[in-house]
Amino acid sequence: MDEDFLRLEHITKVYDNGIMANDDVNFSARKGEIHAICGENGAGKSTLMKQIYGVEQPNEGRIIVRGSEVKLSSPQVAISHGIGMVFQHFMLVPSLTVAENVTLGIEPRAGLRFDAGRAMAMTREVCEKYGFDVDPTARIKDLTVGVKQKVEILKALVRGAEILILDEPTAVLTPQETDELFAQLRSLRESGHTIIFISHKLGEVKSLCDRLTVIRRGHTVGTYDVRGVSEADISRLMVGVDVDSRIPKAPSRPGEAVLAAKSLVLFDRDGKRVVNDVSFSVRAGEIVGIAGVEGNGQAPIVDAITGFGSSGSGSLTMLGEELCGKSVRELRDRGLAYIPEDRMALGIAANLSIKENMIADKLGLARYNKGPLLDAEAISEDTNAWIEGFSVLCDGPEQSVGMLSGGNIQKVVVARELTGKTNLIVCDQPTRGIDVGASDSIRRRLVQMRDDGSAILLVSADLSELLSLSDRLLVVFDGEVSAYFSDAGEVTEEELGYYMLGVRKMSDEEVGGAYIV
Amino acid sequence: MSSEKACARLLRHLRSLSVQSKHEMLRMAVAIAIGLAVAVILVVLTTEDAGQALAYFVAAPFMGTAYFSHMVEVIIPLVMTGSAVCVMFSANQFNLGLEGTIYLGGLAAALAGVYLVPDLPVLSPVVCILLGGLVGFFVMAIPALLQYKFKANIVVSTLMMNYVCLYVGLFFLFRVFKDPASSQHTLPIGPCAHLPVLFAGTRIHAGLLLAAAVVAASYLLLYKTRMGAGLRMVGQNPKFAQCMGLGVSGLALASQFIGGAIGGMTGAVQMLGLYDRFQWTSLMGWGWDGVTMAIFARNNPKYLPLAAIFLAYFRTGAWVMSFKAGVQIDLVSVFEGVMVLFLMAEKFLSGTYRKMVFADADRKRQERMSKGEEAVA
Repeated sequence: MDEDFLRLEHITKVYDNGIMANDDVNFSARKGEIHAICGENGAGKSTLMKQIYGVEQPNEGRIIVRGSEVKLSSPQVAISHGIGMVFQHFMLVPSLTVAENVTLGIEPRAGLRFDAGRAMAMTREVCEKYGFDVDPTARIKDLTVGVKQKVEILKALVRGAEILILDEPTAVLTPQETDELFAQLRSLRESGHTIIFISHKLGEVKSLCDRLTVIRRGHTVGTYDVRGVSEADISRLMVGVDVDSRIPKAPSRPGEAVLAAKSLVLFDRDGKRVVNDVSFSVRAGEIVGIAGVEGNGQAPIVDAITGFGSSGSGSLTMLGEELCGKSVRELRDRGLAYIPEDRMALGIAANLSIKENMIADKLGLARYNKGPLLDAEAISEDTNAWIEGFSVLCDGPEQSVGMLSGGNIQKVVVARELTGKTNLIVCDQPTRGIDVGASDSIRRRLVQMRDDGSAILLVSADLSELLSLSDRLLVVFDGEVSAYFSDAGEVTEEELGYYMLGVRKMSDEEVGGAYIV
Repeated sequence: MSSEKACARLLRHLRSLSVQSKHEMLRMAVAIAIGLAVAVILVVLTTEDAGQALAYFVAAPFMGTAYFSHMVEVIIPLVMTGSAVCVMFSANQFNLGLEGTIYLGGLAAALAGVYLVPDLPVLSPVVCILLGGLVGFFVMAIPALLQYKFKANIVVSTLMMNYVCLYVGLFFLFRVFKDPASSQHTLPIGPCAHLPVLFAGTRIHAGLLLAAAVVAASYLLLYKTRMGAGLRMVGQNPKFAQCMGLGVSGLALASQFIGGAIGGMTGAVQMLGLYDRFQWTSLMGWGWDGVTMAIFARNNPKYLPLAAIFLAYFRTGAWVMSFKAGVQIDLVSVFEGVMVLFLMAEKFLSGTYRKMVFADADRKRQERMSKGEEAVA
């Protein structure tokens, strides 16, 4: 029998927008191993996994399971071949019980009725067999993230999965839950399951996995024995070259306060208090970072500044003017630039051209209007210069933005925002999910803008980005500022972690230092 | 020589097109082919002398001045309502209320021609058409504002508005402005209010010039002005438009006001160009044609003339075929319906599209590789 339980040969996948996500990828996994797939965001890991799970079909190449070629036209087919997948975003029905979720789609029946007793028994049986400590009668909505993930794994096991694909499973877990998950995965390996573990946390890969395959820009770099490579080796293989992730940066020379929030309280649509008594300022010529686990008040703060906010109290001013109640146009006219977190929803119109997207915020400028018409020449001249200056990789200014890769789309957004009026630049996850090269160039731009006198507010989940770019740094937890560092260069990621998780909290006086006018 | 050059240029242009444009053209061509095939099959199955009938269908406009003139007459409302729908659909306002604006715009123009300005040379038709446009503007403002203020679904409200317009119009026609000597129409429109015929011996009237102006203006508006860029941004991604500082609701309303005004003017032009008195007792269907036109033109007025000539050509064919060869004129509706169906079906030929995208990506990869090899060498 073939040693490889699953083998992919020469897989090439091109998405409908023309992006080649996988280019001649080879991959194989043995029975009873934990095999890591490492690669940067956008390297093509998820695309490859989706093809193994039948969500996407390759344009070229073969998929071989247990020695025979198969066509995985849908997840149902993949499951029938013993392939199961746990996605980053759980696919569970919150109002149903664990047993109902686990047996959803393969419900045991008593006549026409759903046989709840058998569903319970089936779930309990699998739980016992693999040592999962889950209550089959609990409702999903009452469970923690870690347990929900177990339910997802149970779902696959109950359907007879022998290969389990886990897409960044630890991203949502606490350290304790991660340990528990790893123990479970190891015991599954003992029982002969194959586990494909997608992650870019190299420490986890080293401690859990047997072999790893590195993917870079859609190509397989190679498959290695985990014992034979160091974390530094892996990271070099993933990125291709040794990149110096630090951005050269002179000490900031801050001027007057551009943005000032004083005792800011914000409510969400349901009237829940999401930001509570937050005070800080951002001065011209400095970058102020906001760290925090997602959902701790960053989004409402950004929304309030950029004109998408709802009700609140306290004061939020830009260059002395109250921001609340101003339209987006008024804010932009006063020099607000905004790089939004969700670039596809807020940052671009995918079907419009690069040119149209780049000029979108500047249509009212005299330079681009000639009588009643737009000045096509001036627009072409400037957008061509920006495409060049921000090194946007494209077929030309008329290409639809939606046809570009994530990194290049973000470059279009950044080019637009940084070429307008930039008294205050609000960046929300400016480099999320884009390649190292693009991230690096965007970060350098931001530092450049700082040196040229813009005030920059940086919200990011990437701690190393926050630490390397920020001059001053806030940490938010549960809608409040839990820590303030007047020199971001002296903070470590570990220290940040304590404040982000609410383990530690600074006093009001210490935090009050964030507000400098 | 020059034709060779033109050919080469065309080929170069075709090669430089993006994969999407190529695929759009392919889709269009296949949809037309299927529509034609269905039409031919129906003719063959239902007609004794199918050959003769088909000859009329495909060549009628060249078989007589009257037929050619008919084709041009058909083109006028097609491009006008097409422009209106392009403007509204570009802003993603799925407003289907043109029928009502056409009807009331036509009525307003006719009444102005009867009572208000029956005998001002040159000025009469101008006043009548402007009045028609004004009525269209106000009629369309009703559903547009209902949507803006109360979130009334624009599709439902405009569909119902069309009938409200029709019955309001009929009330005025039968109860207020009826010609005492007749039952179904108003008094005749004043002689000066008619649109002059452009070419003696045909019925091609000055409305053609206005139609051309409307198409050109709506193209310029959508693709060459600040407002048009805003309209299209709103249509493509309203949240993005908001983030760019545009007044999303205002632009959405404006697109419908413009559409309504063009609709009203279309009614007026048709009335003054082709009729002696107001006698419409049902909705005329040109508003629906506008939707078909916008679909063919992909919401870009630039392609409206071509699309209008295409539709008008076969409509004339079907019309001639109906009285010369006894084929039902509804055949042309089947023909159009089949084509629209395939053009609207998003997944139609998506497999081919995937292959084209793959081939394109593959070609770029090869180019990159050969370049890389050169660089290494």
